[in-house]
Amino acid sequence: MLDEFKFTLKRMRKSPLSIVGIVIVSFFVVIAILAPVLAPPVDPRDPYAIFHDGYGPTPRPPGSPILDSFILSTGWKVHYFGTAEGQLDIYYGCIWGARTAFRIGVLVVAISLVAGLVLGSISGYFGGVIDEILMRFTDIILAFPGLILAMALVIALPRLWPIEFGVIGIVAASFIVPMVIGFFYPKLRGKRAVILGFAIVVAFAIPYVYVLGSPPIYTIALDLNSLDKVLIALALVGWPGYTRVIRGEILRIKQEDYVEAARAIGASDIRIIVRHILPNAIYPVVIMASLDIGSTVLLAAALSFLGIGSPLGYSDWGQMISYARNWVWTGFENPWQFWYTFIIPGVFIFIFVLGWNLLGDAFRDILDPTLRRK
Amino acid sequence: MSVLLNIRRLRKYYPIFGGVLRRKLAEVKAIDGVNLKMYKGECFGLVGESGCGKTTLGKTTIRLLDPTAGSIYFEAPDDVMEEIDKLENSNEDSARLKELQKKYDLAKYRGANLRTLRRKMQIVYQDPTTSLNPRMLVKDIVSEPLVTQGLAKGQDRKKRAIEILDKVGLTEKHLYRYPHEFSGGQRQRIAVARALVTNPEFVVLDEPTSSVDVSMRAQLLNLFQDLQKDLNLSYLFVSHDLSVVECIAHRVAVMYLGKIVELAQTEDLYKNPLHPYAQALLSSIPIPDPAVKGRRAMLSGEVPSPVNPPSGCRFHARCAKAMQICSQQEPELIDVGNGHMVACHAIR
Amino acid sequence: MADDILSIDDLRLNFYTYEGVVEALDGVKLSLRKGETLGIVGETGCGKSVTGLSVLVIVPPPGKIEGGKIFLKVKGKDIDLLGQRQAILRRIRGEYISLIFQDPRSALNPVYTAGDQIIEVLVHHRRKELIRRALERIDKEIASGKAGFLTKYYKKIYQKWLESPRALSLQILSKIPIARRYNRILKDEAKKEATKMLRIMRIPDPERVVDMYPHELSGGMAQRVVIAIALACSPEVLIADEPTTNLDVTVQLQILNLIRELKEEFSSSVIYVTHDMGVVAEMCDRVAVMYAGSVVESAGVLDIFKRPLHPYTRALLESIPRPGTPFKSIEGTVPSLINPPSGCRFHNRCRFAMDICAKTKPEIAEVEKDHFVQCYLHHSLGE
Repeated sequence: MLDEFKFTLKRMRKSPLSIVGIVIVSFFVVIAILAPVLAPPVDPRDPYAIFHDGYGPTPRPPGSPILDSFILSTGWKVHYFGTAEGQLDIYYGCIWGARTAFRIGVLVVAISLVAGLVLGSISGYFGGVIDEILMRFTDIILAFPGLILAMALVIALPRLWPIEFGVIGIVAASFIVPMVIGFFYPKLRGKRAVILGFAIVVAFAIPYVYVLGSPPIYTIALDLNSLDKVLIALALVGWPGYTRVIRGEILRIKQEDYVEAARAIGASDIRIIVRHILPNAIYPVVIMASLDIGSTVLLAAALSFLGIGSPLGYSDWGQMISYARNWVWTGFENPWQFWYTFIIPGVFIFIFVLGWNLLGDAFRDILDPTLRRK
Repeated sequence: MSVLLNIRRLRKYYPIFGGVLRRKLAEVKAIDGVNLKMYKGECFGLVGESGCGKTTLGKTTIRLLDPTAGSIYFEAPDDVMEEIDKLENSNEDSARLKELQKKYDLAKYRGANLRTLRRKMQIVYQDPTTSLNPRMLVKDIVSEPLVTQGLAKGQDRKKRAIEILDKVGLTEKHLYRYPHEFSGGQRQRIAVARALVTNPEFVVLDEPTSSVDVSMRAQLLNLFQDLQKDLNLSYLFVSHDLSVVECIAHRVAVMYLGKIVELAQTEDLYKNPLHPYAQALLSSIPIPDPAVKGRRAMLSGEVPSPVNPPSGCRFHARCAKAMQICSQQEPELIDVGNGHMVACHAIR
Repeated sequence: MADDILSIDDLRLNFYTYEGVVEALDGVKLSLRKGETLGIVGETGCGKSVTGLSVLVIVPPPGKIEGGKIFLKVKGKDIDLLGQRQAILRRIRGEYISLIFQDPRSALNPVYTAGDQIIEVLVHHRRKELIRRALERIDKEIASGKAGFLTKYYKKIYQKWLESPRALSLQILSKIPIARRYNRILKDEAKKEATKMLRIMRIPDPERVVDMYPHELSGGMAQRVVIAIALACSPEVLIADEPTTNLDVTVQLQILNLIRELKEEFSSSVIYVTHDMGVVAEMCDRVAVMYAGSVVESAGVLDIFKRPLHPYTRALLESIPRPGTPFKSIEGTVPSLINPPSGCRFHNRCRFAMDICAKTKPEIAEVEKDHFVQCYLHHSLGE
């Protein structure tokens, strides 16, 4: 294990671009962690809301002092990067925007990745009808252009999402109860356990209805921030890609001798998938994921630019550029006088995505098994 | 010697699907009616060229592949076998037969029985580079059978792993390395260790020396022989390399296109092959002696496809001694003395 | 030597990999005489395949030839292949030296028929001859009065092609879709020649095989097609890189016999690379044994088998499994060539190793008539 790690580090050292990638990503990680220190929040309950001193429409250049009444209450003195329309501080937005970027990028990719792993493994390993159905499903989603589908989903997702908790509870119970039963009573594993579990849950529900007069269904309403909607939409758009890649890798690895050898010693299907196939199948996905983090942030920025991303005044780079729409080019005299409204957040996005892309390239070069042992 | 495996009328067909509706177009008859007995403690050699079905036979015997028809009786005592013979010949639908088969016939094993079977029958693959998971430590590779069979836990596992590595000539310090850090011969030993860790009785060796250098082959052959004596193993040694099989097997069977054409003690077969195919096969082994040169190729053409095997004796189209009857009727495997069995109309 | 058609002198080759520099060939010295079959024997990693590739100067990166000379006798003169321009090497490959690969399935391009691949070689090297034949055919057609009206134009085109193959008008014409039909006559002639080659390879029904794709061919047939491609232009030197390793043993015998017969018919000299001593005994006149990047012994085939001098050769011959006798193997493993052992690379596995063996590498010297060894047991330093 240690040898592998050392080898990986050595390879990384030989490729200067990968070092640049690592440095950039680490830089942003540090900014994100130290956000409360670098840009102390004005409203501690909602740190992501960018503060604004006044309501004037014209952006002010970097270095402009903050209006006196504001300084007294918050401790801020200067707009380091200037202000955007509505006097929102660009510096604040950029620093806390790093956190938002990580949230969007990492969360969306993580959800897509996990969903893709599970569904892709089932599809690739078991094949047959499940495979066909899942693949048609992914085909449907992949048939839509990603950005457009994301837009449609963001708009379609309701703000208040009532989730039938009880229904989820019953569904979950009918998975968990059989597993618990199967654990304690090995003879009852498999189909029998599922039927028994289902029967127990239904048996539980019936007297409940009898006594209380209504089925045990609770409704919670999820209040979705528009940023949350973006997250959900992007995850829904992203999972088919991972599913297909994993499925392809599994199909390839399934035929290797060591998988058959694992069957020859009596390993169960799950063990084969988790212990033998996935560790070998994971490489293209890791590369895809790191490249995807960058592109997800870009996609979210695009959605914000179109106005359906994060809420107003949220510290999100894409949002800030969206705000700068009217100030990009202002007449023939002094056309770029408000450059700081879009260039600065733009630079942040650019370097963030560049860092992840370089990191993804670095992973690909390092983890490419054919280049390893020649 | 006691009979370990008694294979009867074993068939393995692979369907070929095609067309829009994915119907079965044809079948690849990989094994087409094989009858075989293997004894405990012997090394049984199985030779043939590509497409003859020897690897399929090896894998089907240990149920890595599911047989299409036929029976594989494992460790059935003689009196039980006699009873089964009687019941089969009587052609009745007997519950007693079914009961005996459920116990002894590997072809009928399912589920938990099958998993327990894996302890007793194991396989060593041809290419150790692909048969070992490149992302697993040697320690995990070798002790995995103990995990899946639930045979040992924790420290016991590690102890057993070290024990078995020692038997194949590796040491404790090899435990924490990856397969790619070893040479081909050593990797093959790791594969052997993995096969032996559950104390099996029967091991299928599927061309274990083909991917290894010539100078290493001797080491591996020594290892196989020592382990056989030490652990009282029975081997099925599948190979296309006839010179290696001559050195290590006690009895050898020659397969052609899914059927066994000749079976004899090793010495008998190599000195006096009777079936025309066996004769051609044995005469084409290159001999490392420059004084012996210029052997004529006795066979023309290549092995036909197992999808549509020729009628009657499968070899008749390429056989120099083919007669009228050869294209009409398949010859039976007959004992011509001293356990030497041949399936040929020309041998009487 | 006078009748050497190919001689390799002090060839050095390195592979520059991520793990370090692999010193694959460390001063290989070999010679191939006209009309003989030279066997190169060794185990995996000894450098025998790479030596074959070096002769054709097609070693893939990260491999790089670091030194040495390879002399080929072309039209009576010795030229150093390692110093030639690509254009000259392209003419030599296929026409003077050919290579038969180990795996016929991967040596053939799966999207072209067998015939197309032979035609490719023929058209590249024997174009003039094919054009002349095409002209003869056109003339015959005109003479017999069955000429279509385009035939006269074809004749003019082909005559122009013969004199100035790179004429601009021809280059333009060959790109215009319908006009380039004139190519067909040439392709036809080439196809006839290809079918003839397949018949020489003892392939039954060559007219059918010429149109078959590689995946439709069996292993032995595919290998014959590869041999046909290699011999299409009657090369002087044929390098066969383990051509029968992946084939069944009965097919192997057929192919070995075929190569032996064709060697006579085409009067080529053959370098046969293999790891199988039985094949060596069958096929070769002289043998060179390689270990870890250099030739440790080379002699006539009878001498190698009956009186092996180098300890490695002896150990190799002893380790061939024989029934009845206990199996002997060579201790240790093939060393990694990233940090090769000092001095003689075999010294840490050699029963007879002496102090000097670890310090300096022995030279290869002729200790008996036509029997070269690289070992201090048989000659001291400087002999």
